[in-house]
Amino acid sequence: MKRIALLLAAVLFVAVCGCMGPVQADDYIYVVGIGFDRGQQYRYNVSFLVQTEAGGNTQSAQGGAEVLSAEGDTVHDAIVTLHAGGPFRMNFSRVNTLFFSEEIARGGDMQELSDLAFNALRIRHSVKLMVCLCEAKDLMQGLCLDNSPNITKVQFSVFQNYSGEGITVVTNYSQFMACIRGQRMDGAVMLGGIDTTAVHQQDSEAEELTGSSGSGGAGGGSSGGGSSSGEGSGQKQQFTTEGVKRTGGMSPYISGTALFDGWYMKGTINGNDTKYLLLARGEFEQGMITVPYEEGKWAVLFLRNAKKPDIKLTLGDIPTAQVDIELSCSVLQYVGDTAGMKWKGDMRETTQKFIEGELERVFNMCRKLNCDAIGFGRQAVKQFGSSLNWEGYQWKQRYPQMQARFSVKLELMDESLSGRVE
Amino acid sequence: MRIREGKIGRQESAAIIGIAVYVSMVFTLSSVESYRSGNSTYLWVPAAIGLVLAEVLFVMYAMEKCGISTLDMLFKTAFGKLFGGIAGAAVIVLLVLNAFELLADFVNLIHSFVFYDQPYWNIILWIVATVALLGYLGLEPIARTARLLLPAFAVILALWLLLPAKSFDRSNLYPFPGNTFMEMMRLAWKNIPSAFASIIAVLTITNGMHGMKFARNSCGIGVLCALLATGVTQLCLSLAYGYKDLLEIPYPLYRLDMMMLQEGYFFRMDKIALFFWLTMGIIAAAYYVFTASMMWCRCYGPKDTRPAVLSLCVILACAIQIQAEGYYEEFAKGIEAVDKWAWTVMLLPAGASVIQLIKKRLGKETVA
Repeated sequence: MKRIALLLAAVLFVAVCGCMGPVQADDYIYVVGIGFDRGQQYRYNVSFLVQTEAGGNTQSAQGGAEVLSAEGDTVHDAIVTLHAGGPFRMNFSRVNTLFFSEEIARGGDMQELSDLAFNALRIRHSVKLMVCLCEAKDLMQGLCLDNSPNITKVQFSVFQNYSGEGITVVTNYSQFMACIRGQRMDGAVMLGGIDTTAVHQQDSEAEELTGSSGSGGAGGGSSGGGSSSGEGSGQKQQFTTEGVKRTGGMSPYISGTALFDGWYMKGTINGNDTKYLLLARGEFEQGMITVPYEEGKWAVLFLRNAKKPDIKLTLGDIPTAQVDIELSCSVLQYVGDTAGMKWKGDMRETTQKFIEGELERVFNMCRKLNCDAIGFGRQAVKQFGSSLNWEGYQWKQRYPQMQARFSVKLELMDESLSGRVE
Repeated sequence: MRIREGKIGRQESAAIIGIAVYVSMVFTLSSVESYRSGNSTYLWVPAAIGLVLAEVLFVMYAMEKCGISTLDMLFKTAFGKLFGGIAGAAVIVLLVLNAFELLADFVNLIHSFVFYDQPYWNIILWIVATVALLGYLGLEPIARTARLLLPAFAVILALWLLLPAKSFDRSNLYPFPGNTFMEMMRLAWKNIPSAFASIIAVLTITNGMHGMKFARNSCGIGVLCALLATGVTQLCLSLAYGYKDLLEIPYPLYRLDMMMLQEGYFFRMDKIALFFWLTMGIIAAAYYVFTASMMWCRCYGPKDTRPAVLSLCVILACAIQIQAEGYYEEFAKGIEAVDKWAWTVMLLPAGASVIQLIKKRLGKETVA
């Protein structure tokens, strides 16, 4: 009996240790991002952001990256093409972000691309999504420039933009699919772009990319896609960061939000508007806003969202919502009297009205695009006892008529301190 | 007589019962059926377990009153040798079916998430072989392994449910309660067979549990803990995903941490958790296979459980392989048919208990 048990243990030990179809660690290259652009020869140009200088199985914090790409009608076609041309197997277990070009996102192709076998490729459903205002491949190449921070740091930077600045949303595949399936809110996806003029130390690369955008042909390291959408604004964006000239840092930037109606991207909002979107969603953690409070005068406030918004939604043919938001803030910069005195005067009221106006403006933008990015549907569903009634109400059809009023209450965090310092 | 029953204590028996109930009620739940018209699993799943516990406690009470020690004896004394044997066979079918559902699910899970490019047979081999080994060794090793690993399971489960708590959204619980009362009752009734098999199996091994009183205590403790854990798990799943999401997601518990945004130390814990759950599944399946073999021996005379254990494991392995080769629908239909009539099997112990209690009252008590 003992012999049988030992024999079984030996056999099972080998099997349980994952020795089924073993592949040498050195034969793998680890993909951390997959980008989708419209192809010329085939339907898609699929790019793979690959970690380099990562030794064996360990994820190196110092690792650089490179982009491999191939065209194909599906992701798998592109993988096969790349495998045919390289002595490696691509491993997708570290895929962190899926990049979609604006054209792909607007065309609703994300639906088809999301059908890819996540399990077969071992891509986790927690993979983050990003829409690129440029070609996805260009943005990914921007992440690989020699002087750029490594990929791990870029991921950290994304979360800083989200929780520290509030200038972008972070949505993963699971959450996006929950929006699509549940129809309680619409998807809002991280937005990225490239500002090729920002990279002062990489003039050659910048020129190469600029040349490729200008001519609309191949370039920038055999780019197959040409300019992002062939529009003037799209090209202009490649020379600015959300319309602002910048020098230094990396050519890619992550700021703003792509708004979706179901599978289709309908529009974008910039980083500043994203702060108000996050505020209304109850996801805003902290960030700065500039408030004009008098003719030609402005103040910079540091906001910290203390409480989740209190949303009172009245359903009917035209749903109406009253959103109350309580915020804490400190005055970082202002012109005029001392902060404490000014705050007690008219600054508080002016600021509250300004934020309310901005919230309403962002809500109207979303509503116009039929995108419930704020997630009023999550409140609407609470008023139903059965799924039959909820589905019968057809929230998405009523949303375009929805009215919302925002009320903001601001509390100064360090009233005495601001006054004393001044 | 080599039925390898041995003796297990209260902790061991509570651990094995709890694990079997939890695994069966969390992993083998049909998403399509459970979430089609809303989500109230966190209400009706514990209710289903509670109902079965009530029935089994009643059966235990009757058996204790009548001095009957095991389920086969109850059937034989109540229904006679022939019909008692048939009733025993029905319970065996239910137990084996539970083991099959559990193992087939775990084989699929491992194939989908770990060894995608491997043939099913490779996976089946080492999973079923482990079940066979445990079953072959008997009740004591099964229960002691369960007891040994239970704290690790509990820690992994607690971590697994707590880590993505930041992503939980109360609005996912709505429409609340999602199903009508009748719908909840229907779903509870439909899913009772899984809970029933895991709890009724205790009645085949009461001799190894120091008698009926200890068995009742262990059963109560194990099932109540499992009820609580199942309810909390279903609640966490419901907080993480809306009912339409759950309808589409296979193995939602495995994907619970996929809602997390920021990576952390435990972000990629899913594979570790998966292997813990697989271990739980293997222990529960070994428990079903062993109790089915025990029932077989008691009802039909063999004095050794080991041939039955090995035969059942071979049958299970072949069945899972056949299913994996593209016969999912056929198996699903078969399981549905058994589930449809499972209530008759559930009535058997209760009916036999009532008969025995009446006999006792009328003074015709049968010798145990």
